[in-house]
Amino acid sequence: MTALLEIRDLHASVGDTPILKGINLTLNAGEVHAIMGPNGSGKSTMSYVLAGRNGYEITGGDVLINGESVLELSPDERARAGMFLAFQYPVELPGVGGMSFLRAAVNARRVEAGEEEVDQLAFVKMVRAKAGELDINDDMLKRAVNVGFSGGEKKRYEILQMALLEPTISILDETDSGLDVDALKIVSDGVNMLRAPERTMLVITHYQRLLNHIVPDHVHILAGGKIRKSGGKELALQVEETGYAGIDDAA
Amino acid sequence: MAATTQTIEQVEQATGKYKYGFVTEIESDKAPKGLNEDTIRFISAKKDEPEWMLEWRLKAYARWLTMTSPDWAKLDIPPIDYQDSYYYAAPKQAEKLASLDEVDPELLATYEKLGIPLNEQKRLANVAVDAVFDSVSVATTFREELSKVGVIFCPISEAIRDYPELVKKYMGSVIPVGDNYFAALNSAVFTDGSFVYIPKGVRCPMELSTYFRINEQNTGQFERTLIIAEDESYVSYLEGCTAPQRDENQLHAAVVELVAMQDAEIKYSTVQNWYPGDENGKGGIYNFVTKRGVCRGARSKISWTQVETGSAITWKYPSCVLQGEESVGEFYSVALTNNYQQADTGTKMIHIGAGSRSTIISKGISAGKSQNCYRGLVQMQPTAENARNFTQCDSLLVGDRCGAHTVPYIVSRNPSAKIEHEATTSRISEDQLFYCLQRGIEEEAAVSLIVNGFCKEVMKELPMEFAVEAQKLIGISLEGSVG
Amino acid sequence: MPALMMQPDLSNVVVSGPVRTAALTAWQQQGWPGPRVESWRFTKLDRLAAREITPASSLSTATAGDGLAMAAGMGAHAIQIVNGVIDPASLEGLPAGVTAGNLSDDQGAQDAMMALAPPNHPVSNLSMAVMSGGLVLDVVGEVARPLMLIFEGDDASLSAHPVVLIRLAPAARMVMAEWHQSAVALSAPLIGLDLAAKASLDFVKIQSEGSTTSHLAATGVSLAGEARLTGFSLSVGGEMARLETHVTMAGEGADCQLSAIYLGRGRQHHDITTVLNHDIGHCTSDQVIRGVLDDRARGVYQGKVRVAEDAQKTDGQQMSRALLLSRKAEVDAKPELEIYADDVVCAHGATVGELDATQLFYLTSRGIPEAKARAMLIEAFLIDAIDSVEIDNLAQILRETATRWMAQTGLTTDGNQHG
Ligand SMILES: Nc1ncnc2c1ncn2[C@@H]1O[C@H](COP(=O)(O)OP(=O)(O)O)[C@@H](O)[C@H]1O
Ligand SMILES: [Mg+2]
Repeated sequence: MTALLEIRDLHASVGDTPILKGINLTLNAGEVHAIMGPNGSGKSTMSYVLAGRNGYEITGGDVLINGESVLELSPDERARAGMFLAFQYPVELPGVGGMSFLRAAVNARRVEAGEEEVDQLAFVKMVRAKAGELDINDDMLKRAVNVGFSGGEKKRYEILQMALLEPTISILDETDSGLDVDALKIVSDGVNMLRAPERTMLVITHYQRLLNHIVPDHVHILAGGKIRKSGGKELALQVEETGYAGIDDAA
Repeated sequence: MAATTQTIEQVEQATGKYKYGFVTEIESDKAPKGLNEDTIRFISAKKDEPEWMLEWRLKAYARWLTMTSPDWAKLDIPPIDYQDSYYYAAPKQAEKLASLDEVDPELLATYEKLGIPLNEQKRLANVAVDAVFDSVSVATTFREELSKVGVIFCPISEAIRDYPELVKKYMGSVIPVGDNYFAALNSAVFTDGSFVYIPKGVRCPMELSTYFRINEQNTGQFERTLIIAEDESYVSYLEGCTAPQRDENQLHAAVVELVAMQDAEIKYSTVQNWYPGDENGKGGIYNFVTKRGVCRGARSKISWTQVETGSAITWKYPSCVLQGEESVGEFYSVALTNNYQQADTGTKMIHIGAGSRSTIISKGISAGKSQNCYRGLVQMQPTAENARNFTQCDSLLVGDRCGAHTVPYIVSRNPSAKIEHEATTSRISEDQLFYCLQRGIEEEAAVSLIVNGFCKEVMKELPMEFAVEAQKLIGISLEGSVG
Repeated sequence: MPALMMQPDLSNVVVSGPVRTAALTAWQQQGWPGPRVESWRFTKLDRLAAREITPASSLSTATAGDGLAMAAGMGAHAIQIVNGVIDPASLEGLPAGVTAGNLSDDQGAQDAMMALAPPNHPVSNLSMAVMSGGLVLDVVGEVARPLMLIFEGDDASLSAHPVVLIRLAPAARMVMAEWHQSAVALSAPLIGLDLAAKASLDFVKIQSEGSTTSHLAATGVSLAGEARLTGFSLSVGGEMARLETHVTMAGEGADCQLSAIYLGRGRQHHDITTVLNHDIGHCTSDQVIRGVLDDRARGVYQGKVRVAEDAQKTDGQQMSRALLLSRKAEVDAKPELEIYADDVVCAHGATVGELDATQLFYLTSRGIPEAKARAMLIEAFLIDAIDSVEIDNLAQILRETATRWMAQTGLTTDGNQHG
């Protein structure tokens, strides 16, 4: 069986500074992987490189979705191939209405799949239903994308988009940061609902606490642009106790 | 009919982007080529005008001859041969139309194709339309309904005959004949346009709109619009414009005058989509327009909203003279230029009345190799006690071969008056673009989304019926600017 | 050319060399700007009427003004320019690192000056042609002592046309000031500042001319890579004054901070005009302008930021604010952005108004007399522009100048109301 997402010896630089220094990861359908690592270890960089953001030079290695390299694909093509990134810092889009944005994203996939575009009324219903589960009210849906949202609201809005787009590969970059206990629960429930045998997730986090809610199948420690250690969910607990320094030594 | 449809389809296939670029095959009646007193007499005679109107035109012409084309705008305007153009062209049809049934079906088909169906069954429910085709108004809908509440909405050529006192009193009172080169030219040769009169206390029950269409080759369009809103009245008026796709440049020099009396409000919206020329800068309309409103009475209000995506060159500054105490002027503008388009547009807010207020929101988008300039004047006269102005001008650059310019003029002669002006220029944020792309939205659509978001403050001022169209127009006008 | 404009009598002027001859020709063709010239729309020269003025040509005795005392206060070396003529005695004992040369017979320097000077500008042309005094200062290394150019002179029949070119070698650093306190009819200095890579200049100009003097200054600046200029101007004297500065960012990483204050009363006219040419990318410019106008005074700020094609990563900012204290005063502002590159962050802001009534009320409700409260608020209004001057003693001098100006306007601490 081919992996849903395979990262092979991935090297990437910004300008002359190498940041990712040979990352290997295989994400099979049905699996949830967690990536932990200290600040500045390259977690966000990895998520951007996977999603195809400009400004990074891939100096080696490959990224494959369903066995096919996606390095030549633009970010929107990768997204339509099933990749979703929940941003660590979701950006504001002033004046861009939430509903029309969400609908454009959903329809982009439908058009590519040769399906009918979803009509406005049906779409509003669909969004409302999912939004309710994530404790997102109508007022937030009416506003421009992320404009005037609190940190927690932005994170919930990311998960709403994930729920609407039903990606096969979800990358969540520190979705837990800035959330209080209640919000963490809501977000985690939202994520857990999307766990499915045909999907995979890469949950990036700085803290172990998220992993109490979203229980991973595998945990990897990223430090200095490399995976230093991989293990089961108990590895996360170990990090909690000894910090990254201990892990790094062990590697 | 069949011929028209065929032409439309052919042109569409050949051109793609500018979907209004077709030509209607219709026989027309033209004035001899060139500009001189005889041309003016010809136009005046065609319109069956009274003698005083002809004299007014001739005076304007004499004045025009002494003037020179303005050169202060950031525009590169090729010399215009005013003798190499027709100043009057009208479809040949029955002299006087008793009803829409008599309008040439070719024309009805044309307007339908433009999205402005005129006949009873299909016309927009709550919008009265005056359809101006080259130099004449070919149809005006809902006239009876409007006249029941005392609203006059008719071609200006008719108003000159039927309401001479009103026309004499107001025409040229806001924009004097010699105001500028193009206004003088218009005053001499104007052909048609709309006349609106809203009596005291009346809220006009529907949107009024004029749809301008240039069809003939080598023909200029010189329309003139006059809107008078008496005390405590309200009207919302919208104009739209398109023209065929041609290699030559055509001149459009309009004059629009608005008068708002005490407590009256005029909302004037424009979706300007004249043919912009092709991607090499060939062809397109020269859009040289003088628009000005005067808030005569206390608490009167004039609001200009414009979405400018068309024309090869735009020279246009819809302005407000705020005479009345506590009168209000507004200018909301989106100007989008692509390829080789040039736009120099903005407004003037002249504060005379105490407590007068004005707001200017301008969003300029430059793409391709275009040049886009905001130019605006805010003037506080010594009498403008406690007057206020707020101006926000934002420019967005799409691509690195275009220009975005901001030239505000601020003049204050009253210490209690307050002016605040802010302007920014930047390009589309990479972060915003990546966010949209990551959601699977294609780059061109993502840019269109972001640009529409950038314009939102202005777009929300458009009447609902036109907002969606305008939004699409922005997307279409940006085509080819990305990547 | 409008007939009423003052025309300098050039009959006794000897113009030599190709650069000056070309400048004279340009002057004779263009003369003073006519009524339709856009860049002079807010500043008309015709109100100066027909005055008999003759370009100065020989050194007269220096008059004692505040300048020398200021120079002493700053520990600066003073170069005296009297009625437009450079006093050779004051070129003795220049600080180490500064060498003086004569511009009037240096073709290369004249060429360099014209390349820097505001193009097609009446002062660039006239002062280069007539050149009552010409000076080149070459600067190397870190100059320990500030330099002050004192422009003085009391002959109201003369026009002064000093031309000074200052060239900073790579990595040179200097602090300098221009102090204008003459009583000539027309003071028309042409100044060039040419900063080589990594050079750094703190520059202050104080325009405190006599009440019947017209001050028309043209200053041209070029900044090479990573050069830095911090400039400050105060325009407070003269009958009418225009301080026009053109800056070209010629090397990546250059940084230009300009601030200016104008204080006008009576029928004074102050004009601050700047053109910031970002010819190359990765440079920053920031301008802060403050104006206070009383009586029938008029203040003008025209500031253009121009970003050339491909000058990516430019950051150009401008903020101008003006306060009107009188019903007869007028302020005109034209901040302008002309941008041909897309990856830029450019912005400008402008406000015009009177003192904030709420703030005024707040102060008076604390028992502060209104005139003093006004003075305090005006001082606060000016302070961020003044504070950009990081030269010893100079910020203090400027603050005192502003306070003195306010006192003369009736805004004193003694509690008198301002009419
Ligand atoms: N655009 C960039 N330019 C320069 N350095 C960058 C850039 N983006 C990230 N870096 C550097 O790369 C390293 C990894 O950053 P990041 O991926 O954000 O880490 P994390 O998400 O693990 O905290 C950091 O040292 C950061 O400073
Ligand atoms: Mg991160």
